[in-house]
Formats: sequence, C-alpha cells, structure tokens
Amino acid sequence: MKSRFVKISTRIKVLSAVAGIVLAGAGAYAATNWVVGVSAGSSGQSQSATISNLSITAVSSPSPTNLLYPGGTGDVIVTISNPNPYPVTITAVQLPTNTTYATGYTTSALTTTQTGCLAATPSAVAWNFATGTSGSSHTLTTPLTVGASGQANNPLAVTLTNDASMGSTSPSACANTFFSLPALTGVTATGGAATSTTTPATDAWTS
Amino acid sequence: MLGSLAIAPAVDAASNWVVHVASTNSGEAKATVLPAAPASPAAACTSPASNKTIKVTWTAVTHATTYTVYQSTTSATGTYTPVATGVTTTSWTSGTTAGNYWFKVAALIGTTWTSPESAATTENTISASSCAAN
Repeated sequence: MKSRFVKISTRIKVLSAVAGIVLAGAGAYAATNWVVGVSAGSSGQSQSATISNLSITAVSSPSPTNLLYPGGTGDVIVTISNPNPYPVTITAVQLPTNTTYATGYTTSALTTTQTGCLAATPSAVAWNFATGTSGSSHTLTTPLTVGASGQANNPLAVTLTNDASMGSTSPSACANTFFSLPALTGVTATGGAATSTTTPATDAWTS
Repeated sequence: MLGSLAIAPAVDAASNWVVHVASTNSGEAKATVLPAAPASPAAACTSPASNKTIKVTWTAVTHATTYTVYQSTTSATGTYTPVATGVTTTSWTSGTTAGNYWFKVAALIGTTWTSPESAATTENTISASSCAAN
C-alpha cells in the first residue's frame, strides 16, 4: 500500500513539475490560478495544491498624507487580499514603464473619469522609480505579510509612501483629482509560515 | 531521480509557494488642489528713492516653482499685463520707467497649474528723478 502511494505521489510530482514549466512559459504573472507541486520536506512525498493570485485593489482609506502635485510625489493606498490558506509575504513589486500613466477620476470611488486628465492625455502620473523598461523590480523597505484567508490582517491596507509621481507637465485638469495607478506587472511573494503585518500598514520602495 | 523534479519552477528553494498578483490590480492616489494666490503682496520703492525702482514682495505658495508678476499703469482695477515670468523667488524689482504702478502676482506649479492672481498692491509712482508711494 505504501509502495502504491509513493508511485502516485511521484506521478503527481512529475505532472506538477510539467505543469509548472508550462505555466511559467505561458507568462509568470498570469491572472489564472496555478496548480503546482510542492515539496513536503524530508519525507520525499509531495502534495498538490491550488495557489491563487493576490488581489491588490485601489482604496481611499486611510487618507493619503502626501498628495500629488506637478514635479512631486504622493502616497498610494492599496488593500491586498490573500485568498490562500496560508500567509503570503511580499518583498518587492515589479512596475510598468514610466510612461504608463494613471487615469484621473472625479471622486475616490474611481467611477467617473476626470475630463482632461486621462492616461492618454496624459495625466503624467506614474509609479515612482519606474523606468523605461516594463517589469523593473523594486524592493519594499519592509516585507509585507498578508494573513491567511479568513484570518486577521487580510485584507491588508497599505499606504505606499510617495510611491506615485506626477510630472511637471501634468495638466491643471488633474488638480484635486483621484488616480487609479496602472497595474503592477508583478510582485515578488511567497507563501508560508510568517507573522502577518498589522493593518493598516505603511511601506514604500525608495529606489 | 524523479524526486528531483518535484519542485516546479514556480516554487522556491525553501519550499515556499511563489504567489502572484492578479493582472487587474491598482492603487489609488490623490492630487492636491490648484495653488492659492500669493498672499500679502506688497510694493515699495527701493532705497534710496533715487533708484527709481519698486520692489514687489509676496508670501511663498506651497509647491510653487515659479511666479508671474503682473502690472497695471492705470488703476488698481485696471488691466494687468505680465511683466515678469519664471520668477523663482518671492520678490521682484521693477524697471525705472516713469509712471504709476499697481502689481499682482500669481503662482505656478509645474508648467500648467496656475493660481488666481493675487490682490493688487498699493500704488507707487516713479518720476523722472525719484520713486514714491501714493
């Protein structure tokens, strides 16, 4: 019986490895869930599990301390939800290019766009420290750990201090406007035992 | 040998699970309001009066990168035209052309965020040989 279990387990390992290779080749940040094999340690057996993507959502609370102005930087507020049954720790983010701009909205609900302050205008609002290359990686000052699904500190509200920038050419229509920052191209995150970060948190990347 | 294949590329060496983010993620930021008009603009003849120039001063506006100075030569409520742009300090000194002068100031953040014009200063007069407040 034990021998049979090991064989099944080995098949799962092989299938999982192949699945991982295929999915990685298809795009490291696909929106779909991943099913991959995970080593169970010294026993040599393995398990398979579903790893779900984190959700990062724009929110208006807590209120940003630093507001954007032409030539300046401002805070970005997010909540991070972790649907997985274990904590997830984020150590870095990957940004779109520095010419991928935010869209302006009339209210914090981000439902009605602000005339004259759109991504295509452009608003000149982008992620701070973004470069001309999509996917540039930026390390958080402090790792963020989102609690397991259904546990405390999930979702985790985070103020990213001065991690948005506004170019000096931003049109005056962008004054007193709320922005939805362009999507991150990825995050560096791992799931596993860790103490969750207390919400609301403050963090940043500074280079 | 097969066991070595158990760790897929998406799993790190510490046996932790590599987690990704949904592609529709976003964050929210807010921009401040347009700058307010510079407060307390004042104009006074420089010393000695024989310099025949007027120094205009005002209070700094938060985040302002430059200021524009406007003048009227007819009245406090007359037509104001720009006489200095791109001023990076909180004062500006006029030329020596004779006339009656009132001034206003506006702040600029970046290239397009302009404040309203300030209140007008009091009148100063430059004559052929001197400058005096009226």
